[in-house]
Amino acid sequence: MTADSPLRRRRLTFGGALLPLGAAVAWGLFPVAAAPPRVPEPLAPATRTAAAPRSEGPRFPESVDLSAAAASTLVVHPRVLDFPDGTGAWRLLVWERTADGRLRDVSAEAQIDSAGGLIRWEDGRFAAPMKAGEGKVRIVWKTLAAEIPVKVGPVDDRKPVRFAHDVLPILTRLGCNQGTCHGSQEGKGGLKFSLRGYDAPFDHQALVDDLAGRRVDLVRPERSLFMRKISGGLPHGGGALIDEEAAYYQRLREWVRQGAELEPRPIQVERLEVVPPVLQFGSTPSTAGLAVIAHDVDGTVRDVTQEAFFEPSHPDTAEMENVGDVKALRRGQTAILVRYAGRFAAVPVSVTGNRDGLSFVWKPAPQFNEIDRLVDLKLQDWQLLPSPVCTDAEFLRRASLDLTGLPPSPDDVRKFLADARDPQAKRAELVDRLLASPEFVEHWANRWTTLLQGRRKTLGPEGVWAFRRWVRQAVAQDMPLDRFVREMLAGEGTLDQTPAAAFYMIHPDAESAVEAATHLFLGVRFNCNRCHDHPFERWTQSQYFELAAYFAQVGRKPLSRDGDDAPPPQPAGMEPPPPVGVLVYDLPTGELPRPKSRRPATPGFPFALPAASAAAGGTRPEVDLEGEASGKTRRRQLAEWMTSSKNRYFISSQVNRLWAHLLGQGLIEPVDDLRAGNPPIHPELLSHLEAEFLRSGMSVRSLLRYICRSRVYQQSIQTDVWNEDDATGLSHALPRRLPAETLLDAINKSLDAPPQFPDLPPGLRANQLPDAVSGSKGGFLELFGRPSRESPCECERSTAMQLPQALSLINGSAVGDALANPRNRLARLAREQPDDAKAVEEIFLAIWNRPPTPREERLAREAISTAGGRLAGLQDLAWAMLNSPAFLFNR
Amino acid sequence: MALTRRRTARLADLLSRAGLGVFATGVMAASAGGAEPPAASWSRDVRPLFVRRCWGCHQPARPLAGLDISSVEAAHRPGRTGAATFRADLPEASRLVMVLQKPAAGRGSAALDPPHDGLLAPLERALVVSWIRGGAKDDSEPTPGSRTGSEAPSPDPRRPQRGPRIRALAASPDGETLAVAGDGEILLYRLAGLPSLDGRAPQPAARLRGMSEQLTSLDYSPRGDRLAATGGNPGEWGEWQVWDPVSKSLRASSFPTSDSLFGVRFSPDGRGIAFGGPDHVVRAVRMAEGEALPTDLLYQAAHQDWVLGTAWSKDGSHVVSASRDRTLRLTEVATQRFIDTITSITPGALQGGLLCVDRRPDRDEAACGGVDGRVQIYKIFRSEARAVGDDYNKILELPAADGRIPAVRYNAAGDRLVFVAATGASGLARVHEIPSGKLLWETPAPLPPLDSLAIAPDGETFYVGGSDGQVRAFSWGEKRLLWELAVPVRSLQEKPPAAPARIENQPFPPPVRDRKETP
Repeated sequence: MTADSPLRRRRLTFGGALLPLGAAVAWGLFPVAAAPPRVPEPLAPATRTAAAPRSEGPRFPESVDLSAAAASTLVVHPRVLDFPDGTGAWRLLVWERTADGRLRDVSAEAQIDSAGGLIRWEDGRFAAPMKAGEGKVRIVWKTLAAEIPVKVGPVDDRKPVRFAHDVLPILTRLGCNQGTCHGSQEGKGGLKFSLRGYDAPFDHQALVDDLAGRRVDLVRPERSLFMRKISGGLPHGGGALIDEEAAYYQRLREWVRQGAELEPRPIQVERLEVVPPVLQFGSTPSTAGLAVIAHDVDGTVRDVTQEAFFEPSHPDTAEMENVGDVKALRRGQTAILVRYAGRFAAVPVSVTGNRDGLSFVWKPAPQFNEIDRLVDLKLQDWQLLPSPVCTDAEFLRRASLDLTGLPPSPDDVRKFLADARDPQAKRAELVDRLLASPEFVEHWANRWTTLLQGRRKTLGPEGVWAFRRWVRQAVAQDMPLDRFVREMLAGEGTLDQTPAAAFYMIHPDAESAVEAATHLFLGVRFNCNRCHDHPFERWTQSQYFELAAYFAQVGRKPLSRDGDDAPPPQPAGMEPPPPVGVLVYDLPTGELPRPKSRRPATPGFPFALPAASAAAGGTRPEVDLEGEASGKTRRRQLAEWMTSSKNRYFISSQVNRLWAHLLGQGLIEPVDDLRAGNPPIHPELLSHLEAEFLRSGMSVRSLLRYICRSRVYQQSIQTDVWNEDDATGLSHALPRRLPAETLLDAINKSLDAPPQFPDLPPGLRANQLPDAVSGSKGGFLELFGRPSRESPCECERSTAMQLPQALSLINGSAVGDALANPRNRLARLAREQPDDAKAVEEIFLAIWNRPPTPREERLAREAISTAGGRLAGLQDLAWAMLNSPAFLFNR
Repeated sequence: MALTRRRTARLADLLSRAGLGVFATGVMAASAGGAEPPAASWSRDVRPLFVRRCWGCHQPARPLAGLDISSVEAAHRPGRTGAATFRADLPEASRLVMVLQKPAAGRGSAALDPPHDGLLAPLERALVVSWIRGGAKDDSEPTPGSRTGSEAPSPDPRRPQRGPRIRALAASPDGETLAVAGDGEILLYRLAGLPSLDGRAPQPAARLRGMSEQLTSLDYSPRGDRLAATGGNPGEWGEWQVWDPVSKSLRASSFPTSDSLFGVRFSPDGRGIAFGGPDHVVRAVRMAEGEALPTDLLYQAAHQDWVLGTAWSKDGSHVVSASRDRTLRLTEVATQRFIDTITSITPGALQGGLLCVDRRPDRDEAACGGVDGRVQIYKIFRSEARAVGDDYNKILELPAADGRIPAVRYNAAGDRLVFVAATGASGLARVHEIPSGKLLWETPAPLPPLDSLAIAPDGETFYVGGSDGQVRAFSWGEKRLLWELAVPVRSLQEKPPAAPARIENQPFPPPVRDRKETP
C-alpha cells in the first residue's frame, strides 16, 4: 500500500549484519482507514509489485531526537493506534533506523506508556482499548523517543459480536476446528466443524442448532455446554482451553448473550498484510516481530496477529517463538506462512547468520544473461558467493543427461574437449545440437507421458503407443505448450483419430479430470478442496465443483474391437478388461451435483484472468469468457482459460517445472504446489523466466536453451566457505542422482551394451518404454524410483538413495549383464585395443565422460594388470566406476 | 491470566499452610511434630487440577482405564485394575498418586511405570497427596447440583429477555392440555384458553420444575394420567421424570447417564417408558403402582452412537430405537435382546444420523427422520431374510426437505404423517397422506428453526416449537396458523426446586468397556 515508501529500498536487519531489503517489496508499515479494494492477482503473494518510483519523503512519525549526536531514529508500526469501535488490539513494532538507513527490531526493549489510560498493553506487545478518547503513546528506546496518536471510540462490552467475523477466529485460534479435533472428517464427540472454519453457516448450525441447540443456552450464556467445556467447567476431551476471565471468553459469552446468531452476510477478509513483508536476519539466534493486518472487503483494517497462525516452511532455519515472533536459528532461506480466516500470506525470511568473524565482500562473477544478473542480486543480499563455472567435460555430461537422458559418447567428449573455441560459444552450440536431437524428443516425450499417466491399464496396449506417438510428435515440432494442453483438454474422437483425447480415458470422470488438469497445468492441488476448503490456500470446495463442472459434459463410449458397441458390463467388483478403445465426445447436457446441496454446480473459474490491457493495443482478449453463450463446449472454454498467457498459474507452474528439471530444484518447491504460503525463492527470476517463456511463444526448447546458457546452470558443484551450506540460493550446482530411466540408459550406453526389454524391440531404451509396466528384469527401474503413473504428481518420481539400490548396483543383473555382455565396449576393447592406457582412457570417456588424471590412469592400469585377465580387469574397472558418485550423479 | 495468577496464589498459600511450600523437605519434617496442616480442598484445589489435566480422558463419557474422576464419588470406585484409588493411610500408595510419578529408586518395578509421569508439577501432585491424606473428602455442593451460588446468572436489565428454546411438546390424550418443555420446566397450558381472548399473554396452568436445565422430550401416557420427560444438564447428567399432571407432583425420576436422555415414549399399556441415552443405550423402566419404586425393564447397548428416539411396537413387546449411528434397531423387551437392524446395513446406504422415530398407531410401521432431511417409513418386523445390499423393510421415503428432521408424528388415526424440518436459519412443517405419501400441506411462511412437534387428538391441529421460544398451532384442515404463544423463562432469581417427593438415584452403570468417542 505504500509502494513509494522510502523503506522499500532500505535495509532491514535483525541481529548482526545488515542487509538490503528486497527491492521490489511493497512496504505496508502503516494501516490506513479504508484501503481501496484490490483485485487479487492470480498469484498475488508469489509476485511482488514491480519497483515503484522512489520517494524520499518520510511516511512514518519522525522521532524526537533527545541526543543531538545520535544519528539513528525510531520507526514505529502502526502509524496510529486506532480503535474506532472500541474493540480489538494492535501489535506495536518498534525499529531502530540507523544512520545508514537500516532497521533493527527493538520492540522488546522499548518503553511504552498507556496514553493516559486510554489503552493497556497486553503482554507488552498488544495495545487494547480501555476508555474512549484521543491521546498519544510515547515510545522511548535508549535516547530516542517517538509518539504515535491514539484514538479510541466508545468502549462498550455490548458491541455486536458477529459469528463469522469475531467468534469463528477465536474457535480457530483455540484449535476447536483443527483436523485432529472437531474439524476432522467425522468430527469429534458428535460435534463436527468445517476444517479451520471455512464454512461459517455450517459451523454455526453445528454449534447453535444441532440436537435442538443443546450446546448453547441463550438465557444463561455461561451455562452453555460449549462455554463450560472450553473453560474447564465440564470434562472435555480437548481440555480446558481458556479462563473465564480471558478476553476470548468474554467475547464468546457476549455473542451468546446477543442471541448466538450468524450475521446474514459475513464480511470476508479480502487480504492479509504482514508487517514487515520481508525479514532478514544477521546474527543468530535473534528475534523479530511480525504484525498481521486483515483488510476486510468493507474497507476495515484491523490487527489480527493474535488470531493468526504462523508456520515456518523450514523450521530449522527459523521458528516461531510466541505468536508473531520469528526466531532465526541458522543460515538459510525460508518463509513464514501466515493464515487467518481462509486468507494466506507468506513472509520470506533469510538468515545470513554468523560466519566466524569473516566479513562478506561481493566478488563479481561472469553474467551470461539476465538470469545471472538477477541471481547475483539475491546472492549479494544473502551474502553468498557463486561457485565458478564448471569445466567443459562437466558441462557436456550435465547438458547431455539433462536434455537427452543419455551421457555423451567417448567421441562426443573428445570432440567437445578438442574444440578450441570460446567455451560459451561451443556450449551454446552443444545445447542447440542436443535440443535438436531425436534423443531429446524421446527423453521429453517420456517425461510428458509419465506425468500424463500414459498406461496400458487405461489406454490399452495399442492406445499407449498411439498416445506416446502423439506426444513425441508434439515435442518434435516444439508445439507451443498452450496448444499442447489445449489439444488434450479439447480433444474428441478415438485414440486412433485424436490421441490427445487420451486425457479423458486416463481420467474417466469430471473429478479426476479436474484434479489432474489443475495439478498438471496450473500446479495447484485441487484434490484438497474436494472435501473441504483448501487448508493452505484460498481455494474453496465450491470452486472445485464449479471448475469440475467444465468436465461434466464429456461423453466416453467404450468400443469393442469392431469399433462399435462395447462388450456387456462386468459383474460388480470385477476389474473391467482394458478397453479396446473409447470414443470421447461432447454431451449436450450433464451436470455435476454439489456434495452438500446436491444441486448442480454452475461452471465457473476459480479466478478471473486479468483483462487485456489497453497498452496491449486494445487487442481482443485471448480468452472468450462469454461462457455458454459463446457456443463453445465447456471443456474448450476451460482449455482456453487454463492455457491463456494471462493465466499466471499456468505459466509459472510450467516455467518452474522446466527450471527444476535443469537445476534439480524448482524456484517453488514442490514444483507442482503453487500457493500463497509457498512463495518462490526468487520471485524476480520466476517473473523473468515467465516473460522469456511468453516471448518465445511458450516454446519449451527456447526456455531450456535460455536456462542452459546461464552461468547459474553452468556453475560447478564445488563449494567453499561462502556457499557450502547453501541449498536453495542458486550459488552452486546441486548434484542430482540420475533418474531411473536415465540411469539404466546411461549404464547401457556407457558400456555400449544395448538393452533388451521383454516383448519389446531390441535396442529400445528405458526412456522409450510406453508405460510403467514394461521394464527390465530385477525391477531395476522401480527400485530407482520410476513413477508408476498412478498420479499426476511429480512426487511419484523418487530420486532418493537407499541401500537396496546400492546392492543392485553392486551385484544386480542390470549392471552385471551389461558388464558381461560379450558384444559390449569392454569386450571390444579387450579384443581390439592392446594399449592399456588407451583402453583406460576410453572407459573413462565412456563412463565418467572425461579423460583420466595421470593418477587415475596409473591406478586403473594397476587394477587391470592385477586382475584375473585383461577383460576381467576392464570389467572390474568399469564396475568400480559405475558404482561411483561420479557416474550415479549428474554433477 | 488473572485467574491463573489467582490460582497460583491460592496454591502457594495453601501449600505454605500445609507445610508443602518451596522448602517442602525441611518443613515436612518440622510439621510432623506440629499441628496437623489443613488438607487441600477438592472443590478449590484438586478439582481445578483434574479439570485441566485429567478430565479429557477420565470422565463419565470416556472413562479410560475404567476410571472416572469427574466427581469424588465416581473416583472412589476402583477402576479396571481394582486398585484402590485412594489410601488415606498411605496417600503415596493411592492409585491416583502412583500413576503420576515414578516410584523412588529401589521401590516398585519397571512394570509399574506410571502412565502419567510428569503430568502434574511436583507442587500440584503434593496438593493431591494432601487432599488424600485429609480423607479425599468431597466438599462440593451435592450433585446433581442446582443453580445456586456463583452459578446463578445475574439478570442483565440492559438486555431483552429471550424465550427458552422449545425442545419438546406433548398434547394430552383428552385434548385439553398442551405440555411444553420450557426453561428447565414443563409448562402445562389449557388449550381451551388459547388463544387468549383478552389479549394478555396466556399463563400456564402449571409449571413442573425438575432438576434438569434442558428437557429433550415429553410424552403423555395413553390415559393421560402421567407425563414423562427426559432431559439433563448437558455434559453433566441425564434425567428422566414421570409426573402426575393432575396433582402436579413428580412421581419418580432418575439420573442414569452422564449426559442428557432423549426420546421418551410410554408403552401402549402406559406402564413403562422407553428412552435413549448418550451412552448408546436404550433403556426402559416400569412404573410401579402406588408408592413402590420403578424398576428397570430394559438395558440394551447395541447402538454405536447416541440414541435419540424410541417407539414401542403395537403390542408393547418390542422397542424401536433411532440413533445418531444412522440405524433404527429393534429390541425385545422381555428378553432385553437385540433383534434386528431395521434399516439397511449396507455401507454407504445410510446418509445421516437419525433424530426421531414414531410408530404408526394402527400398525407396526415406524417413520424416522434424520439430519439428511429424509423421512423414511420402515416395517418394524422383517418379513424377508436380510441380504447384502437390501433395504427390504423400507416402505416409503418422502421427498427430502432442507436441513434436519427433528420430529415426526402420526395422527391418532394413522392416516396422516406430520414432520418438521429445519436448517440453522429456518424451519417448516409438512403434512403427508399415509400410506400414499402424498404431500397435503406445507406451512407457507418460513418459521424459525423448529425442534418439536405434537398432534392434537382431534387429528386436525398440530403444534410446533423451536428456537424462538414460541409455540405455534396450525390446522391442516384449514391450512392456516391458529395461534402463537410466547413461552416465558423461569424467573432468574427463583429459588431452586425443593427436592421432589421421591428421587430414586440410580448409580451409573459400571462401564462395560472403554468407549471411544464416536461421532
